[in-house]
Amino acid sequence: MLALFTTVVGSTLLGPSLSASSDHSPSNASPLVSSLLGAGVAHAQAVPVVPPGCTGRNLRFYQRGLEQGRGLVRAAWAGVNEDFDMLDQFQNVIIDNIERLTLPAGASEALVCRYTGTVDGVYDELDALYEEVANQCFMDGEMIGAMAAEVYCELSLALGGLASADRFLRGPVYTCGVNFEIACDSKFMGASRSFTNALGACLPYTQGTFAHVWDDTRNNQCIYEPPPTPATVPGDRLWGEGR
Amino acid sequence: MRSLVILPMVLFASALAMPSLADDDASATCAGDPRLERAYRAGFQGGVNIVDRAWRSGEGCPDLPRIERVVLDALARLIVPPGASAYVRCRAVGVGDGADKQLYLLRSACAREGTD
Repeated sequence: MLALFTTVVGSTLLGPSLSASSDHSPSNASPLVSSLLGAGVAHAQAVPVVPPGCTGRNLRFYQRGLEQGRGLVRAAWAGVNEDFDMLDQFQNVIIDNIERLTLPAGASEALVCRYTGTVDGVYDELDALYEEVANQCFMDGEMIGAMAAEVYCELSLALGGLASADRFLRGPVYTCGVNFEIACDSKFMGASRSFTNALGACLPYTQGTFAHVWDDTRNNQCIYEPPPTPATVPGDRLWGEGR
Repeated sequence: MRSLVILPMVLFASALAMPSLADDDASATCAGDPRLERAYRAGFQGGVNIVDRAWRSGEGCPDLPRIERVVLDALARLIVPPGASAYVRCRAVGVGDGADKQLYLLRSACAREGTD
């Protein structure tokens, strides 16, 4: 994504200003544009770095743009109801819009600083949003994984092991889903292997003849979005089929 | 935030409403928000699946009361951690409802089998 930040700032924001000169090489750009060339790099840091060219009066324009950019992302995120599962699509839409942002030829330094601030603000907020979503989904996955392990172990110990059943097919996942599944899978594995209660340890039900049941249970309980399958009880199962 | 012990209540409430509980209906607290509804559905299918595994490990209908007791006991002991997000709570509610729904289907099927 960092490469994209740089590309965006370089190709859209600075592009028109550069094209106003006779040569597109940075060495022939105006001092302000040259100083802004590093603006995209600011996204690698927690707080955007003010471009050296945006000082004095222009600093206010940059900062105003920064707030505007952040506000734009927050407002747009609220517009999709802050749905974590929409994050990836949301980011693509925002980036697509930002990539088409251009400066008019002969833009003033104040305008260049304002535009740069806006782009920095947008990417800064997208980064923050990404981190927020990834962290929350990871924590959710850990909680579900721990609860699933507890149920699996309680049942396995009480019933002498569970049996094979349907294994859900995991489909593609995005930012939230991948964080959820990784956290849930790892928590389930760790918690079930160390689980003990009055009936004993769960470890034997995580290996050997139960390894596939344990793995299927992890897969099914930690799947982020299972395929729609109605619950049914086929008649031929009524008298059991053992494991 | 105080600790939430929701599954027993959910199971009790679901048992009362069982005949009208559709597979893809999120419970009232999780309805309206698409992501929470997906969380509920994922939990629901997980609940169905875990009961299915418990059921298949037994000896059929004569063994159902024991399996049901074990499943309900395990779910009743499950505590949603304090501070859990709405997503986690809805997924946990779904697990309880899915398990309860599957137990209900098994009870019904075994009752029919017993009267045939």
